Amino acid sequence: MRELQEGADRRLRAWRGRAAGGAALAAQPWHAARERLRAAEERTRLPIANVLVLVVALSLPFWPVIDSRWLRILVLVGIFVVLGLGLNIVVGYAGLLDLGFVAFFATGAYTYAILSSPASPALQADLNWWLAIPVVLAVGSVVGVLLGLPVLPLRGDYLAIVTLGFGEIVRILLLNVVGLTNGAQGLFNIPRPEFAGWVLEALDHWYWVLVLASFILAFAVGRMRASRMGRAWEAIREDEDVAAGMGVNTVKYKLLAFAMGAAIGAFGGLVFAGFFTFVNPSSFTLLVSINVLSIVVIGGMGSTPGVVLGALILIGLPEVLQFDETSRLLSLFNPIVPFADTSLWGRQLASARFIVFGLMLVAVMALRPQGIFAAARPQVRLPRASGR
Amino acid sequence: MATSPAEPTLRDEAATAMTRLRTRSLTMRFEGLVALDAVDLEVRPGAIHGLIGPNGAGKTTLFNVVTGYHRPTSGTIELDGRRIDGLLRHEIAEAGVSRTFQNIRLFGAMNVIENVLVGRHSKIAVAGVELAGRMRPHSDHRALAAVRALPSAPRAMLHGLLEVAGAIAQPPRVRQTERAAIEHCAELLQFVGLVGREHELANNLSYGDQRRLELARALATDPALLLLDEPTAGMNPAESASVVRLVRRIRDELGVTVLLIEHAMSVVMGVCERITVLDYGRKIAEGTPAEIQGNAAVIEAYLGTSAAQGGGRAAPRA
Amino acid sequence: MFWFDQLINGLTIGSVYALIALGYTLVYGILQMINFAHGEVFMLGAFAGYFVLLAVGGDDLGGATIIPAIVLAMFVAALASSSAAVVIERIAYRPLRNAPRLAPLISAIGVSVALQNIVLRMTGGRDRVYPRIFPGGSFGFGDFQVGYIQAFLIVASVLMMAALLVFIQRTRTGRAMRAVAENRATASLMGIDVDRTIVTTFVVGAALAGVAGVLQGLWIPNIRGTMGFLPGIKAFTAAVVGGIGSVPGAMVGGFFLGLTETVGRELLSAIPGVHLPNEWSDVIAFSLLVLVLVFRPTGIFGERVSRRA
Repeated sequence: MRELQEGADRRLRAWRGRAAGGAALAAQPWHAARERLRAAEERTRLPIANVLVLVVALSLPFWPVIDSRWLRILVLVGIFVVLGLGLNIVVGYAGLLDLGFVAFFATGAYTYAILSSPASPALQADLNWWLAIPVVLAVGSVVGVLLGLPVLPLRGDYLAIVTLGFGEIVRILLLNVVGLTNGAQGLFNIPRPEFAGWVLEALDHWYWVLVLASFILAFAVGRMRASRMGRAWEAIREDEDVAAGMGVNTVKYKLLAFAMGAAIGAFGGLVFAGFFTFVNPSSFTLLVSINVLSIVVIGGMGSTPGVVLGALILIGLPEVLQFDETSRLLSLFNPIVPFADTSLWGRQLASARFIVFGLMLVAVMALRPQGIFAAARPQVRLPRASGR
Repeated sequence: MATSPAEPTLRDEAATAMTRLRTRSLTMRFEGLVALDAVDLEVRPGAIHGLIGPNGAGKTTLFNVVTGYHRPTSGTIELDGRRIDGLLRHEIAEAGVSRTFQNIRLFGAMNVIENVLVGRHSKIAVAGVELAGRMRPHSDHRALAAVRALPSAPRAMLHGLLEVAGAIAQPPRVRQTERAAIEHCAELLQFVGLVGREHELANNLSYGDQRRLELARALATDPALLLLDEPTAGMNPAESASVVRLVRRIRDELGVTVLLIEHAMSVVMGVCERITVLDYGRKIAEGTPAEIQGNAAVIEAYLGTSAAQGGGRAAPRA
Repeated sequence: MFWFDQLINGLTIGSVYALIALGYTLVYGILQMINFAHGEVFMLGAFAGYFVLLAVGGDDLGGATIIPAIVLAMFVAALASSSAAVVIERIAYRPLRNAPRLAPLISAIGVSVALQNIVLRMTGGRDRVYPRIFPGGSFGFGDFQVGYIQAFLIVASVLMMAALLVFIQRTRTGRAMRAVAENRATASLMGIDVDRTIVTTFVVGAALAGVAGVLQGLWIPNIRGTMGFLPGIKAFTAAVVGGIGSVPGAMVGGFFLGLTETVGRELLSAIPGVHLPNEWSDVIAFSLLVLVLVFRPTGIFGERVSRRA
């Protein structure tokens, strides 16, 4: 293997040596500047940075300011990070605007709930949460493919509105197929994750599990994106017809995008069911889809750090705004702001969050379509061994 | 070049006696409009073959039909003796037909080398193992195609699973083929003259460079037949001449057979060995440049109106 | 007569769908884009009409005064919806006219979410109820009875549609709209103010949706901020069924969808052992949308567009 690579490097160096154009370019000062910039870019992608983020994230529960309220919020943020990573594949990479993502979230939550809740009217199997992970991933991806098949020929806005309908149909089914879902009452007493006597219950444990799960998912998604599959997705997003003409089986890769997004969304649902131990149809409305879409779009379509940042801002911030400390902090502005009780601002803003999200979507599209975090581009570069 | 990007020389030996591309009474109707009317076309291996005709003659439609973007109303298409009509677009690409577009169509938000790598897609290993056979949902109606593909669904799912597993685990074979593909694409970029631009976004390239990138991407699929739709459109004489040189090198050095649509007469007459003339979807003439220039029907349909414009351009001979 | 009632119910809700669907189809014809916020424009119309009816007397209205009151409510609703549409077009769509295709779509979703929640917030999340001013009786003979309110809805919307057809076919502005829909660049070269024509299209579609909001409010009195969502999707379905871009198509599609979801649900329920609650109307409508898009994307009248990039 190593020999092969070295051979490849040697040939490339030899070929590079012949390429006079490249040498001439490298001699120019602007080119050198660009090289430096590129080196900086690459440094930020080093594993060190990721490890640092992981360590900081894992250590959060030990920080003195982080109490149970914070942890609860962080768990919620974590669930939405998972959902965002899933939708990001569909919308950000493959460019398929899915407005019914809640369908997959519900699939995961209900799959586990039906198979484990004592209230489940059918198929109750006392399934262990950890064993449910592969089950939910499989069911999720199958549902993703099934919902993806009919919309394969559709593009852009048509796809959006049909998936919107799918999300709504799933909610109606949850309400009405009472023999399976227990209807509006929902399923309760869903067992918490348990492994060899250790029950996942404490908030900090949940938080750690979610951080690790998010990292594993982010790694997997990053690998997918950097592979030929990820390039196929991006090519489909850029120009589906041309991608097909270059040998990309567009049907296969669109279905794969739906399946991967759905599997990750379903995993989010599994976490949701295990954490809250209760599901009913009112948790699976269009608002979930809108929330996740806003996270992906505002964070930056196609960007993993964007998803995390988006979830922190859109899910975490409105909760933090409702803290008493926030009110006290905001009340400091009272002397300089006439005719208003500034201590209420945080709560008011939080309760108006969907108005703000909506306006943010409009503003982001008009002012910064790439979102807060532009997706890290480009992905593929020539091997550094080329000696440039 | 140290390693030839394509192995078409092998393919040539197998196919010298044959015709690279053959269409038999190829017909394409769009709701009353006959875009192609029983066209018989033969492109010999190793040829640079020109396709000319007035606007709306059906040239681009022919390309679209050959590459599977439209399904022909009737007639057959063969590549090296193998029927390719009815195949899906990516299957036709894998069979060895590649193309460029009249209005350049690049993956604008991807960088230069990634654009070429997409063309290399099917040359990168899925995972450590290869599966025999391929899913082939194919029907007049896409929705029905999905239904007919049902029996092969388990295999397709297994394929998908392997693709995902291979992408995440990146076994040596995947890495190795990916690396080879990158290297190959770098060489193709050198071949078309885009050295040093590998990491730029395709959208940021100049017009001429975008045309070159499109050529490199088309070549990345290792085509036996390359369809070029007006490769020199919108170029000044110098740029146009260098593209013509490139087209010759694609045939001479890579051994790829070229079928090209051109409006600039000087280009067509200078580079093509054989020319086919279409008018209102019909083939009205075929022959060497000299024969075409002397053909009365062609002059009437085409040269009579635009020869003056074409003649005004610099001769592209290298 | 049960089935006759269902037929009338289907035509009534269908007339509302048809009026909303016209807005989708007009805007699509001219911009090739789905105005996702159109359902909210309908909702705003319903609220504007509600406030007008409250202001002129509410439940105390009666006798001959209800006709001018309703006309005024419709007029103000049309005005309110149109103004909203002008603002939406200006801030959310026009800046993105040359952006990638997903951009205006996401922007429209943003507008839609914001409008829903602004109204929800202003109403404290509770339903508002239209004053019941319309006489509740019915007419007809024997078992075949048509409610006055339903007859009014159907007749009013048919009149509106007739007016729209005349407007599009006979007026200068209507001709400009058709020209821009046909080819924006050429229309511009012919001296047509494209921006203004686009705004006019939004205004006309929004006015129809605003009136539809009042009509529905008179029939089904409960209104709330999210009321535009389902009729929005369904009217879009109607537009697609009729062939998006086609004005007669949207009208026929609206009635067709109204009939399919009411009569269709009852037909399915007539199967022994099957009971389908009202929500299954939505499932039927969405399924119809998917089926039409997959198997006959041209709809009944329109051109094939759904696969266009």
